[in-house]
Amino acid sequence: MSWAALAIFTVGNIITRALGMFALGGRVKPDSPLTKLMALVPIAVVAAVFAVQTFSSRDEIVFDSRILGVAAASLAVWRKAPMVVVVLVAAGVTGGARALGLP
Amino acid sequence: MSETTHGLRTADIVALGAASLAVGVTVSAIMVDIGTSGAVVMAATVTAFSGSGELAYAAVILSGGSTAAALVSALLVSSRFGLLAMSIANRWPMPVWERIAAMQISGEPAVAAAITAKDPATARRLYWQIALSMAVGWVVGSALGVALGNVIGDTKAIGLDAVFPAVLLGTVAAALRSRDSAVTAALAGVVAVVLVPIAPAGIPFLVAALAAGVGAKVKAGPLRRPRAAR
Repeated sequence: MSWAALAIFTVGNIITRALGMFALGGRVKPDSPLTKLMALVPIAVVAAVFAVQTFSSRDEIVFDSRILGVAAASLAVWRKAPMVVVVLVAAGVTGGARALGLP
Repeated sequence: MSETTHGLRTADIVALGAASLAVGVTVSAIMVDIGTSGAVVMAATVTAFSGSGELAYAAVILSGGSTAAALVSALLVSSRFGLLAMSIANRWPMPVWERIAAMQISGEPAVAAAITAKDPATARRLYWQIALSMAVGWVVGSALGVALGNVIGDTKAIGLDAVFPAVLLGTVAAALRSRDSAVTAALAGVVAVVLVPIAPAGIPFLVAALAAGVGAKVKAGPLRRPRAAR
């Protein structure tokens, strides 16, 4: 990320936060269809990033040790384990599998 | 992580700070790994205040996408902070300076605590305790991540590439426990991965965002229910 990209990222962030805090707060109902759609867009992109980072490298679909680590860490998240544990499980299982010779 | 708020103990607040520290270490180590200077990473930590946004940016760059595509993904992911700010805007009376500070360092745990608190004064206290604990963890963790990112040579050997999605999942896990968001997430994930070999880099994330339109048609509700006929 360059300084220019950071500037755009930061300004964009401030605009969305300020819209929520100063413009939409109290006007848009928390359970309106629009709010629901706005809540689901970031979830969709986060899920896409999650899946792409787990199952691909650059422009190829790849199945490697990451899947084991991410699966184990996802189980930890589901069981509400502390984030530190989630990180250690993901790194430990993936690094361990690679140390054993898996891709 | 604690989802109850009335019985929120100091230990829970410290634990949220520690979780935030772990996220900071991971996000900033990855940002350094994709070639961002330590100064920019630390500036982003404070000015953008969006670990998930930075991860979305890094994901597009790692897949070979352009800076523009990376920024669009990052801003789409960060748009959730607008909703978080919206949901606390009228929770307790705030002067303008407090609104600006509260919107800048918001996060799901602090907002959830404020929304479910029994009165506005409690909402305000819990919000700031959690948000500040997490902000300190985030900034300290990020500094450690920059240092770590500059030291470790082979990030794959220590499984950093798997920590990336795991941390992302951890930061949004609370939001995934309803049916409409689970449907959205599953669809978006499949669409993005299928598009990876065929679409230009960076595009899969943007097309996957359309899954929100499908998810919005699904009734919200708890994920786990008897799966009877619909």
